Amino acid sequence: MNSRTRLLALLIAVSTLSGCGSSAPTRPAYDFWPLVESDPRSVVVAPVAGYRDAPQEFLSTIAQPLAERGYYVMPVRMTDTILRQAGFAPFKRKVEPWLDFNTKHNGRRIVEPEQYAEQIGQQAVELASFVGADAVLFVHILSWEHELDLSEGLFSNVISERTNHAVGLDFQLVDKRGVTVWRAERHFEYTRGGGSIFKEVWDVTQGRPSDDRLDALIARDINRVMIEGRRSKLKVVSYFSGPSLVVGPYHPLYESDRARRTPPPSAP
Amino acid sequence: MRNRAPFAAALVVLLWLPSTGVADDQFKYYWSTYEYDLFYANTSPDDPEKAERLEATLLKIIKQSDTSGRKPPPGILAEYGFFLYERGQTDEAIEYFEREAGQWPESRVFMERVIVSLRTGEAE
Repeated sequence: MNSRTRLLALLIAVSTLSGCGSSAPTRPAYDFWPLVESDPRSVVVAPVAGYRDAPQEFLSTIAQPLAERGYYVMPVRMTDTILRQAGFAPFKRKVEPWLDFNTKHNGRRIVEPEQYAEQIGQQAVELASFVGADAVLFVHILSWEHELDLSEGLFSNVISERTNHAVGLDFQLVDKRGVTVWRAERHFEYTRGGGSIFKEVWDVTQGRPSDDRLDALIARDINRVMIEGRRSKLKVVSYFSGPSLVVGPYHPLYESDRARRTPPPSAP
Repeated sequence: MRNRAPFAAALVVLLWLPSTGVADDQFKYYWSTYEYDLFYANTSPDDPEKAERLEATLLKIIKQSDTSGRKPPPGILAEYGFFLYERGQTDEAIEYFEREAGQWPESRVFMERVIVSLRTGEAE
């Protein structure tokens, strides 16, 4: 075997080990079969549960990634307005404080008694029927934290050039029969240096801005980051990328992605 | 002269393989600045400029889609129609709701329900 042949063999071996090029079937750790079997084409985003302005801020970031994942997404602004007016309140679940070891922030975690499954299933049936959707996406904002490192006292107008953002989201996709077909909890963390936001919120002649104003502006900042990150690919912050959600019928890889998912051994 | 063909072939295979079978987000639709403008409109409901900017962006997306012959993203035609409805332009709004239903069969039930409600409301 000459050196070029050895190099060829090595390259092929590396690509095979990387997984993507392997033809051997791999079973994903998560059971995607309920979602594959339900095969929803259209999704409506239920009014989002959260605190302060987080639901409205979040709502602006959900339609594009979900549509790009291959699903028909009911118009989010229109449906949110109409559904709230029709009396569909956000589905609220009990949460408990939780130290998020991924982001090192004090987040929240859903306390999930069994009765929620029935309640959320019932609401999904009603919502899906109301707008004619195949599935309803419930999103619960677990954390929407934005920390500014602000110095106090003598140097009260000095701002550290670091901010920390941490977002935790619980996704639950329930089909029109009321069956939960996909569930995921995603956490994003982002730390950035000083930037234009400081110039925007900080006016030395006025002293420290109010906490509400800081919250609002920094929340907007993280939305910018999430959007820009997804576009630029510099920092991929995407709710549904990778193996976390089977692609929908308008995605070019719809058939092949479905073929990759295998039924659980107990299924007929 | 050394034959580099095997190395080149291996390189092509190596570069090509990872791009197959991996479902990742791809931007199929033209969105312009939709997310930004929706964010500002949602968080500043009392600022008419923000709403106007979102409306203009929706129209830009629709026109671009018309020009290119590609489908506008899901929901965009309906969102624009909803703006027209909020401004009292019911007939024009219905036109866009009908276009949404025509482009996206998945929206038909909802769009028809909205259109019927609007026509019933007008008749009363």
